[in-house]
Amino acid sequence: MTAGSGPSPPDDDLALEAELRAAAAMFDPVPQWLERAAVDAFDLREIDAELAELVFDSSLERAVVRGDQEPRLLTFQAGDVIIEVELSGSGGARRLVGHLVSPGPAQVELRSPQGTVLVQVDGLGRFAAPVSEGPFSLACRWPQRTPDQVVVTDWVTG
Amino acid sequence: MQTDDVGALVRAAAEGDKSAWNALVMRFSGLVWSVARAHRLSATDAEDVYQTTWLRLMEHIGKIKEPQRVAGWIATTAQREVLKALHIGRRATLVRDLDLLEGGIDDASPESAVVASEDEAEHGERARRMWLALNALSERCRRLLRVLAASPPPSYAEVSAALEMPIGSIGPTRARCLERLRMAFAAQSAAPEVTQ
Repeated sequence: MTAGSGPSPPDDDLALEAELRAAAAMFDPVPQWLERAAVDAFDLREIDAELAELVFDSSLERAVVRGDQEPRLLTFQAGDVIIEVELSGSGGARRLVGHLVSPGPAQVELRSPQGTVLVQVDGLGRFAAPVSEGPFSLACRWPQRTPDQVVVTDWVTG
Repeated sequence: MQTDDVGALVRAAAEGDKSAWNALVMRFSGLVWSVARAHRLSATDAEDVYQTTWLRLMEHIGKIKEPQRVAGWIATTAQREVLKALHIGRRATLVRDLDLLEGGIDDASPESAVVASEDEAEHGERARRMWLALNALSERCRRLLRVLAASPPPSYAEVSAALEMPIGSIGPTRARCLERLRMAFAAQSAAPEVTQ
């Protein structure tokens, strides 16, 4: 491929790559707890849920200055269900304030790899909850509707 | 579920087959981690990228348009999460090469671990120098080689999706970067006393 001393034979490259792979396995393996979490992620699946996709993320709309304390705004949508979320604070004081736009009284659950917690929703569809760093999703249910409807938001790293 | 057909695994997982999901995790865990670690994210950000990628796959598994190409979907999703983490700079801190190395060594071999033989010690020392050599390369080379070093080895299509590189440029870039790795490794070996 190149002139001069010439490229190493591909066999040498394969051997070097294999040695690098062994070094990666030794010095930067996938942490076991993470792999277990990936396996356990399947248990969070709601097989009949509608997925509300992330349709707006303020962090992608502007340059973010490090240490910026402005809240991050997220909007999820599935059909006529709209979920707006504002994330603020940092570290142990992170907080989520949300608004569920949908007809009828709903239940909201905050889901994360640490578990699922029920969040109080007021009559106007507003809710608030502390949220830890890392991935989260919201599950919304309408207990008075038949058949049962469940909407889950896509996962976002908060 | 005993099959190498990832499309079949995706379809079975979509139907609720947990063993198929586990097989997907085992097959692509190394790829997702390598993409997260190929970029200079903090360890916590890399962990978030890894977790969010799997949670997104779980949520989307019934909607993947081409199940046999799930590897590309996974690699692209991981890459997007990396870019978000870099963009937000949420907890991003530059990771020093030696931190990477020390972290690994502390986890893998408690101090003055009794190695079974001199061969093994020498093998470990070679691997350590290989790792230092990788982390001394340019970002472009380090990134590509870190993903190529995933276990099991990723296909060029997976690497292309993971690093947004045209497939045709992977082979030549790989050859150049491996040559640089060879040189950096030789330099490491020539100056073994320099550890800082």
